[in-house]
Amino acid sequence: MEQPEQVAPMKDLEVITDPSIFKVLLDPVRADIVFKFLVNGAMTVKQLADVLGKNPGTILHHIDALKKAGLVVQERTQLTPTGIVQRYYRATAREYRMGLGEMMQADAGIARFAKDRLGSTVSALLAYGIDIPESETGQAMEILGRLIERENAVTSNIPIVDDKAYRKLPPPVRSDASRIIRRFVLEEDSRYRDLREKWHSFLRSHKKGGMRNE
Amino acid sequence: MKESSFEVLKNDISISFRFAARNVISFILGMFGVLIVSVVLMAMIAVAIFVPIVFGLIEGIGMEGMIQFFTSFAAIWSTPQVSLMIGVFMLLAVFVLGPFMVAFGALFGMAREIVESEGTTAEGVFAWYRKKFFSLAGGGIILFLVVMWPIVLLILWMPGFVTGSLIGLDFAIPMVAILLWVVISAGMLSLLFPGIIDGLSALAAARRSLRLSRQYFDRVFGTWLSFIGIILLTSVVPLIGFLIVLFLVIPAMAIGLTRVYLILTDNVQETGSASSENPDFRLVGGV
Repeated sequence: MEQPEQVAPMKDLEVITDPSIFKVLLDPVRADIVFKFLVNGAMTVKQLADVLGKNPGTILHHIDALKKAGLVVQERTQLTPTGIVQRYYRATAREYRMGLGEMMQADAGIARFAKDRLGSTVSALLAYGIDIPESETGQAMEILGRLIERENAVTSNIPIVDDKAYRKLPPPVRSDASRIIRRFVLEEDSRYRDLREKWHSFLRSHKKGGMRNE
Repeated sequence: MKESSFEVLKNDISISFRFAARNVISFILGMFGVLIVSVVLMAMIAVAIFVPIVFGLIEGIGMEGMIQFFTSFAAIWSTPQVSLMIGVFMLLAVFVLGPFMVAFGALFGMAREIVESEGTTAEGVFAWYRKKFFSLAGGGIILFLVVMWPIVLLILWMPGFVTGSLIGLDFAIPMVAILLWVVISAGMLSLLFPGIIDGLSALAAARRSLRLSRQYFDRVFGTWLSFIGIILLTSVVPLIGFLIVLFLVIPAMAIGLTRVYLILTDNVQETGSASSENPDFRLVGGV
């Protein structure tokens, strides 16, 4: 019997390790669809077309590519009184992260993107009074890269022991529970703690004066 | 909601025609455009197939030999080598009809845009034509072979069926069997193109179409047979009937079948029935 597939609940975090999936998101319209809209909730093709100012056909093609990449799923279908069959699509996770190690191993374009992104993040700390001289940028990127990779490795595959109960949770509650557990498993991981301590002492040694609250 | 009844069927058909009528200009322009592309593509395929053959023959056996080669085809048709001829014909038909099958399939892309968002554009058909070319061509080949191959077997088994030597019941019975086969097999595969547009491969879409048409026989065949009936009735009026079929009934059929596909492949809710009891507030920060 043909039964609609049961859609997996939205994950709190997904680490993208496949460079081909990352490439799908390099298209600015697809990136907008996922990061601006579908991570926040389900939308129809018509709604996405309206907010992005594109025609529905274009959005359908992008949704097709995102579905194939496993970044978007069809959540539900509604029939309107006028006969329109609206399909609601949403992202598979609330937050996506780049798997740094895999991206650095990917082709030159993606590896350069990942390196530049990490470099920009390190430079951006100057806005918070962390002044890292150019000669130490490489060291900062290396420590931060290892810390991020460890965090991704620890938090991306937390086992769910009661899938039935997990599926029944309302999304905001599921998200809060997921955050608590992510923090907990990180604190339990000694390698993560060591790397974090190393990174924090590096930051402390480059701090200029005091820090203001954001 | 998925099962059929007279009311559901009436609703499906009237919604399909309403959407097709609203988007008739886009369909006419899209169909003209895609037809031109298909003719050009078909000519290119024909040139790619026939030019090397003709030059090869001229080079190999000369002009006289070539004339002999082509006239020998007439002789082959009336000999036991008819199966070879049919094989060659089927192969050429698949290649030549390919672009048109893709064009027909691309109409389902426009239909999908209408069913999901109430509107489409003429240029949208080209995006479907280009992006789903190989899947739609594969779907067209599957459809052609499934519908045609039993007919070919019948011709091979009863050659008199095409040479005109069969008359009366001997002709009528196979003729009715062929018609029944065409209507039923094409009906079973009527959700093939909507499946391809939905992102499935040609083979997966064919399998899903067969499954859905078995599971929801009344809904799929009710819609399919209604459109076949409307096409037959409209075709009675010579020119205007043809134009109506081409620019209104066929788009309505694509819309109707796409709509049925979308309804049958998910748990459809009425608008407003999905409400959130949990507003999306976060309680936890970085604890």
